[in-house]
Amino acid sequence: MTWRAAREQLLSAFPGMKAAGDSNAPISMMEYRRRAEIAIRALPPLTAPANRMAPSVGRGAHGQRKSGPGDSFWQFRPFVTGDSESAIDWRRSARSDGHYIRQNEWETTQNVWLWCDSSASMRYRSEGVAETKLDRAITLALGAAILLAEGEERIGYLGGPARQGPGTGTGNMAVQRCMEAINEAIDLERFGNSPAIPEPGAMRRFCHVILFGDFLDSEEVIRRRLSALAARGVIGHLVHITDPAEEDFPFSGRIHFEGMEKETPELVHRAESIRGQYRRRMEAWRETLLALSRSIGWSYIHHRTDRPSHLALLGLMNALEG
Amino acid sequence: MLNLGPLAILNPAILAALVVLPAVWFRVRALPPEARKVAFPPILLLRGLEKDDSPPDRTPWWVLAIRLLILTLIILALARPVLNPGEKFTGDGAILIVVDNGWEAASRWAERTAALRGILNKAERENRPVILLPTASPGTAPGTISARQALERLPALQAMPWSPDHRQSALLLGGLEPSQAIWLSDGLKHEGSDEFRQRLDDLTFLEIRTDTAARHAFALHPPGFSGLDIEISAVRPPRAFAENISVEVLGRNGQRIGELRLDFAAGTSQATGVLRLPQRSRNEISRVQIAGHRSAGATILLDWRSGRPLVGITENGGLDTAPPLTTPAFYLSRALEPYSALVRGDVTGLMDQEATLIFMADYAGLTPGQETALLGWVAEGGVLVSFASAQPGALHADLLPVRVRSGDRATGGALTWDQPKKILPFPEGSPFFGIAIPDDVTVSRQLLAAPEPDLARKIWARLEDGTPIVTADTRGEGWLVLFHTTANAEWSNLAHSGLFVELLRHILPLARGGGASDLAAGPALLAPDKIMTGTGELVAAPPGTGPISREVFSTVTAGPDTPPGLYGPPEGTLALNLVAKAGPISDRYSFTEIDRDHWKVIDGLSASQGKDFGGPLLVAAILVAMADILIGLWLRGLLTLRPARSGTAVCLALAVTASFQGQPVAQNLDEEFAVAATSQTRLAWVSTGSAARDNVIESGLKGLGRVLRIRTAVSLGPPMMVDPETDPLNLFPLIYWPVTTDSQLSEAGAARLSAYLRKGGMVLFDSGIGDPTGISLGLQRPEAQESLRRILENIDLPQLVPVDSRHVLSKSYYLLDRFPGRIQGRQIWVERGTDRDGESVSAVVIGGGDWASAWAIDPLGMPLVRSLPGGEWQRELAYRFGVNLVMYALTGTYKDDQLHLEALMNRLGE
Repeated sequence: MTWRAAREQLLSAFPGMKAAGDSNAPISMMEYRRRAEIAIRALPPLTAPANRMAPSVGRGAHGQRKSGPGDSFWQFRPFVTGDSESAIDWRRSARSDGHYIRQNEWETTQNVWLWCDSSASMRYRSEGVAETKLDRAITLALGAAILLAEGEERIGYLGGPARQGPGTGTGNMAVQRCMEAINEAIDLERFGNSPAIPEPGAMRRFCHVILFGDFLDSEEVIRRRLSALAARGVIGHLVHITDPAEEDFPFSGRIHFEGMEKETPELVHRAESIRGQYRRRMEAWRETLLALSRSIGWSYIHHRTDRPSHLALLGLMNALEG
Repeated sequence: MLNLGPLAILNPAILAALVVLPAVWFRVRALPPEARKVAFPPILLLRGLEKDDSPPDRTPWWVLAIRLLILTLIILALARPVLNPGEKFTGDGAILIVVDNGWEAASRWAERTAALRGILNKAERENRPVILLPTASPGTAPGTISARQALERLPALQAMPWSPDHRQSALLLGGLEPSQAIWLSDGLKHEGSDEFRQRLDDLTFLEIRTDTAARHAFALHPPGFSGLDIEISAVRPPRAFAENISVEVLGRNGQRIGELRLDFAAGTSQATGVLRLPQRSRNEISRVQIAGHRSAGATILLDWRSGRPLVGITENGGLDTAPPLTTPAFYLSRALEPYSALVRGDVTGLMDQEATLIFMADYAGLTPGQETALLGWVAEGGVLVSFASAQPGALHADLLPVRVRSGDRATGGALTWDQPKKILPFPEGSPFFGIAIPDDVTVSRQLLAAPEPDLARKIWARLEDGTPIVTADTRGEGWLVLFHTTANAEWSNLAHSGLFVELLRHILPLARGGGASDLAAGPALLAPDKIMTGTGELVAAPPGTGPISREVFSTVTAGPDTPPGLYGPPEGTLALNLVAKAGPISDRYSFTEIDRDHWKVIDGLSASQGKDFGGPLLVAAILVAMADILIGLWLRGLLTLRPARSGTAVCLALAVTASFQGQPVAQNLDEEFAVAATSQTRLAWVSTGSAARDNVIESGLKGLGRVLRIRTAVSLGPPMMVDPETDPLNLFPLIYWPVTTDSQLSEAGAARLSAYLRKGGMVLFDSGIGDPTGISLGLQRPEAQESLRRILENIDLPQLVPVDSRHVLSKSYYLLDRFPGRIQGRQIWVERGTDRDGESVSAVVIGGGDWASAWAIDPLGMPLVRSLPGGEWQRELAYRFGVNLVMYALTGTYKDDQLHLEALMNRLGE
């Protein structure tokens, strides 16, 4: 067995291990999970969700502000004909003349879908940055998944392998399923470039979706796809991940820019001369994304890969709250 | 060849290539410089950006100009321009070049090569064949070859380790018809030089060049060895100016053992000096040479023959009961050590080891056979020195230079009339003649020589009554010497005096030049091992160098047939030198110079041969090309300093500045503070910024101090408040650091804290200050955690692990399984690796117990915080944790063995 094969075996046996200095080696899902755990470790633990989060993303069951199946008391209402006699709350009824029925609040759980853009452009990492945008997206997605699973939400990964079946799950099992789904979905050779915004797929009304991506497409395409999602009644959160080089444009000199998804190359003779324009344009693009998401009632978070992951997760928590 | 005044161009045809330059101009102008390729995902955003620079899709004209300049330079270089090509050779036939390549020219050989190269280059330019005649290696008649061939052969032309043979060279001139001759002479007159010059002069137009007067040859004379001194003398041709040279003495591995400066006075041709070497180095010498003037004539190789004489001292053949430090052999060895290589053994062994002198100081137990062998050895040149001995049978009549009366004469004893006798000045003809005799040397017992006719001739030294004290006689090539007294202090105090050493030292030269026995053993033919080059280097012997018969080796002189070098088996090579008594450079060697005026000699070897500056042009082309590459990189934006890097540099600069600013604070310790902090062991604490809390913390540490004082041997002074940004932290063993939501630590402070922790300090971070007791079971407040993270951000901490009951902290004084303060149930954390049998001590302890509140007492000794959730037992546990912590800070892991104490006690009970 060669040394390399031995190391591979070791890595698969202990997925948390990763050879130092091997920054281009594929990262195992356990490593992503480890990073995600580190990222959320910096966050306040989700122990008092009632204080920290809106009822819509609270722990587990969410009251629907109306009576229905559930565990907690909602209201007493007068008995009307047709109600089951066994539903009469005799203790309440004894206090007055009428008969009252005790109703509980209708409680449902919230579905939250996660999705990462796994296109080629997400695999970009400029010099001096530790992670590609995709690495960061997966880390953030897993971090969000773990936080949500701790909050006993139902989570699922959008565009996971078909055999898992559509739908969401709860608890650590759901996190595991997310990891498997991500692991398969980012296989570029099998699925090719993913779109900048996903199809609605199995999502239903009122479910949440968190999209991690660089949203590099024409405004037209982005708007159309977002509209499709919004039309489905989905509540979404865009996490816009950019590389610092994409923000700062630190290039100068004569440069032949090549896209990562077979775009036509662009030759710039003096890159430093367009830096200001580019930055303004990038700024404008972020504004556009923000405006787009605002217009359909979504939230928008911008995150750079040279910033700590937990900042994005913090922002995400705020967004889910609001 | 094209001549343009002082400039000549050798390959004018290549200049035609200059016409392509305009074509190149247009072609290159059409090509933009290559762009750097960069992958960039948001390329869509670059579309249609207004690129306000008019794109230089053409190379800037000055870049083009640089490239054309490169091309032009290369073309010009290939055309081989020559400046000042000089006068042409006469005639149109071959040029005869005569070079004196003997050792005399070796030290200036590079100049000769350069001159030859100049002449040959010129001959090549003028397309003239040449004839090369090296006079020291004439060989067969030289052939006419092209200058190019001659240039190729030039490296093979080397200086030879012998003198030029002008007589032989003259013979080779026959049949040659050169149109001009150039003689690069070594400036010296050799055998047949005049005739040779005459022949050359008759043959053709002759130009003799030699070195200027300042550049001349040196030669060494054979060195004289006496004891530890080496007398070195060097010669030069007579010169009117003074100069000095440095003679190096090198050891076997080429290391420099000694150096001697020789000064030639103006007008003299010889300089002499004496080099005294340490005794240790004396036998190491393998080479003597003139530094900076390397030649075979200025290099002397030394072999074992020129080492110190091999002196044998016989062992006592009988029962030796004398104390070892009073034996004659001991005295002899101490006296001879500095001047000789000593061997000890029986006579046969000494002769086998080829000792050149044998000192027989005592009873040697010679057999008749050995006696005969010894006589034979003396006849071949050995020197046998005998001494009187009290032991019977120590003297062998045949081995003595004189007949000795049986019995000895004692003077100065208790039963004698005489005083001990002094030694008379040494007679002329004795090797001791001239040695000063100290007054206090006396002889009290001696052997007496029997009268015989020529006794007076054999006497080397006498006592004041005329009786001989040292006698000697020759036997064949060798000598028999007898000291009529003992070699130790039994019979005289001679052995105590320096005179004894002097006498023995003067006997040693008798053995030198013994000759035959030196070369007696070994193969009959000595094959060359290493051969000296003309410059004095040793190289592997070229094939075809013949061996030298061992019998004649000592008489062979170095020359073309027997080149100087090392001969014989590698373990014992013999040196053959140009510089030798019998060799070409003997003691009387001196340089004879040619008559410069009469011979019309040109001073200086190199006449103007023209300066070919094709090479410099090529170098210039390469330099410009490199500049062009740099410019290209700059144009493509690859040379700019990247902002990130410069940012780092700024940070570095700031950090350095900060550390410089930080240092003086540490240096200029506030003395009062330091004395206060160190006069007693004190705990330190960091202010929270709130007076009420500070008061609680100070009281807490006081309370802990009281508990420690009552229960343990630790006696703490009152705690001190420190400011981690300014105060010297390293005066304190433990710092209590309450972390509140607004705790801050600057980068400089973090650096100071890091230094403190690295140097063995310990900090207890308590993030529980101000927390409500009730709701925080097991959890830290996030705000406190955040500020703790802020503080520790810039500190390089290893991973933290929770403390369990096996950590030293839980048993350094009390055995604890939990560590409550005012708040209970919170985990405390220490550095990983300090938990299990670790040698190391955790530098930080992090927890949220708010211990200070639990410890705190008011001046009356009553607890400040009255009620704790766990009652007074919790307060007790908090104190116990405090005690353990202080013990941990003060003793480290020393208390780790407490773990086994119980088991040990049980075992003792059994």
